Parts: sequence; C-alpha cells; structure tokens
Amino acid sequence: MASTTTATAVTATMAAATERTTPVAGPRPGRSAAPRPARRGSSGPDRLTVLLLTVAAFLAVLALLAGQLRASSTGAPARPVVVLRKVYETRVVTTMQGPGGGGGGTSVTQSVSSSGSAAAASAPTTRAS
Amino acid sequence: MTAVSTELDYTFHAMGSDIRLLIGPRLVPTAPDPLVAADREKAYVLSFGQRLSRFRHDSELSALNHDPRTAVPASPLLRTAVRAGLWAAERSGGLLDPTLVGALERNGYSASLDGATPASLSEALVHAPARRPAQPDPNSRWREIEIDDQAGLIVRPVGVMLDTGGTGKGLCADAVAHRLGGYTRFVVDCGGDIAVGGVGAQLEPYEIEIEHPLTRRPVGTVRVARGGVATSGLNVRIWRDPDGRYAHHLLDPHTGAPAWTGLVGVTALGSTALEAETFSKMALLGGPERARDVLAESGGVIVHDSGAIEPIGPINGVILDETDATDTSGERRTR
Repeated sequence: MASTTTATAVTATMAAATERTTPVAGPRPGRSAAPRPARRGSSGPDRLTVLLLTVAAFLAVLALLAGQLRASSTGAPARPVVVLRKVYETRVVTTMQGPGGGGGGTSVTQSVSSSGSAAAASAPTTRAS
Repeated sequence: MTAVSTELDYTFHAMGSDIRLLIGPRLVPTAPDPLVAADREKAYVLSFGQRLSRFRHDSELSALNHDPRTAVPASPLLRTAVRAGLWAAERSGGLLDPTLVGALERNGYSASLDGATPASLSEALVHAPARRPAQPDPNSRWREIEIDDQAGLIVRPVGVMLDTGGTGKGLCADAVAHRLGGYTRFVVDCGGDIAVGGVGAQLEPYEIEIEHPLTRRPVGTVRVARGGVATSGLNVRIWRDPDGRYAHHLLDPHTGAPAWTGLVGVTALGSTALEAETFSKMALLGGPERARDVLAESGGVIVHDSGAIEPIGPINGVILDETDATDTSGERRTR
C-alpha cells in the first residue's frame, strides 16, 4: 500500500514538471494575447533590488567599522607591560661599641631588597686571619 | 612584581678576628627573627672562642693542656674541636699538626696577636730562607691522641699540648651554619673562613671576594651556593722575634720553624668551611706543586711570593690577573 501511494505521488510531480517545462508558444497571429495579472507594487524597486541594496549597505557598514578598528590598533602597538619596582632600603638597626680593646662592638645592618636578592649587602671576603 | 627580601648583616669581633653573619628570611616559621638569631650566634661564637683559646688560662683547652692526667674529662665542644684538629692532621698526612704549641711559643707566638700590627710580609719575603715545602713530623704525637665520647674523655700523653686554632674558625663557621638551618640563606664568616648555606643561596649563590695577601685588594670573586671557602696567608700573623728575624704562625712540622714554601696565600673551596680551611693550609704548607694537587678537585687560588695569582681547579667566578679579568665560570681556569 505504501509503495503504491509513493508511485502515484511521483507520477503527479512528474506531470506538473512537464507542464512547467513545456515551451510556451507565443500568441499566434490573429489571436490576442491572454491578459497577464498586473505586478504588485510595480512602481517601486522589486524585491531582489531591495535585498541587494540592504546587503550592500550592511557590508559597507562592516567595512567602515573594520577600517576604524584597524586604524586604532596600528596607532599604538600593544606591548606587555611589566612593572618592575626596585626599592633598596638600608636600615641601621643597632650600632654599639663595646668596652675595652677586646672588640665587643657589634655592627648590625638590615638590608631590605625588593629584588629578592642579597644585592644590598656587600660581598663577604675571604682573607687570612 | 615586587618580591621583598630582607637580609641581616651582623658584624662583631671574636676569636681575634672580625665575624660576620648574613642571615636571610626565615625558612622555618618557628625560627626566631634573624636579629634574635644573630645575637644568639654571637654569644655562641664568643663562648666558642673563649673556651677553646690557648691564650686564656681559664679556657677548657688550657685546662686540658695543663692537666697532669692522661685521660682528661672534656666537654662535647672541646672533644669536637680536638677531633676536628685530628681529622685535619689525618687528612693532610700530618702537615696540619695540632701539637705544635711548644714550637709556636718558641717562635714567639705565645700571646694573642689580636690588634697587633703585623710585620711587613714583603720585607719578610726578602729575608726569608730558601723556599721549600713543609714536611710532616713522623714522630709527632698527635697520632696517640684518642677521644672517648662515651666516657667524655680526651686521652693523650701527658705534656702533649694541643692547639685547635688551625681548624677552629672553620669548625666554628660550620657549627654556626648548622644552627642557622632555619633560614633561607646565610653566610657565616669567621675571620675569612666562610660557610654558605640555605636553599636561597643555592638558587642565587653568594659572591665571595678573595683578598690578595700582599696588596690587600680583591683579586676576584667566587660564586658559592653551599659549602665553605677559606684563606690561609702569611700576612696577618707575622712578626719579628727579638733577634729581628721574621716569623709567622704556619709552621713546618718537621723543623718547627715558619714555613716559607713559595706561597704567601691560598684560598680553597670545600664542602665545609673546615674542609676548605684544611685544604688551604695543606696547599700553603705544601708549596706550589702540592697546592695544585690539593686544590685540583675542589678548586682554589694560590698566590705566589711574587704576588702572581694562579687559579686552580674548578672555580665558578672571576679571578683577576695582574692586568685583566679572567672569567672562570664553569669548570676551567684560564690564565
């Protein structure tokens, strides 16, 4: 049953297609042409024209925006910004001289370095003693 | 980006030398503030020097040296110091002899030279005898000394006197470094015998300057991430005896006289300050040829009588020649 219905539908479609593709003969001499229905809105641009104009306008706006974007980006090249702050602060905490020649004196310096290194302190020295 | 790091720079005088501590931030949260730690270590070093001084009659070392018994009760510190001296003697084949107290005194070194103006090394070199390497004394009695930790005794022949000064500063630097293990980075400088440690120092090594014994100017720097650096030289403990002869404190064990070997200074690197100090003295007493062997593995710098500088072995740093700078980064010296 289903196959019969399908075959009928296909036949009908083929028939319609045949009708559309049959060349239309022009008005024969002596016979007047059949009146055609008047086009809707025939005084303004047709649909295709409107569609094309709309697309063109949209593309123009896009192009304008793209141009502005490119101009702004090339004017100031973007670079990664690294903020490096180096602060060396040397703070003398205590300085006292002990009594006698035994040299009980102590010198204390506390160095604060933002670089994380010991650069603020002078290098230790190895020497004979 | 701002990484703030503090480092305490703490200097005081002890053991006849300037002592300097550089202490970085705490690694262990329970460690005290670096300033508190430095005060604590100063007390430790002062005590260390007083207890082990052969110039103080009330020191533990003097008590040992004058004790009439063969087996003498000794504190853990004294036992450790004597053990370090014996280790250095063994390591040097007897060149570093801790039993030369009598010879030192006969040569005029019977009192501390702290604060004394040293004699001119340049003048001394002019008048010094022919250069030759020092030799160990095969009859030295340091081999007879024993340490009994269980009984807390030092056993030695009566009359054999010990001097821990040859290894004392290196040992002290190592001891303080051990006590500073709770900090990210630190330097312990005991009169030029230096211990470096801490994870921070391994990431960013310290630059240690080397002082020339004749000019007293820096001859370069070595980068040290951990371990020890030490310098032995003739330029500080040097004097003229009553007869006008020049003498210094590094004796030839074989003769008991000051050693004039052709070298006036040696800087050595080692895994510890004690080892570095031992290497530096071994090299200086052994003369140029022996020094090249001693320093070949760990690295170092020798300074000849002429003042010429010779880097030896692996040195990570820059050693200045008389005329230019030589970058010895990596494994090889250039001269």
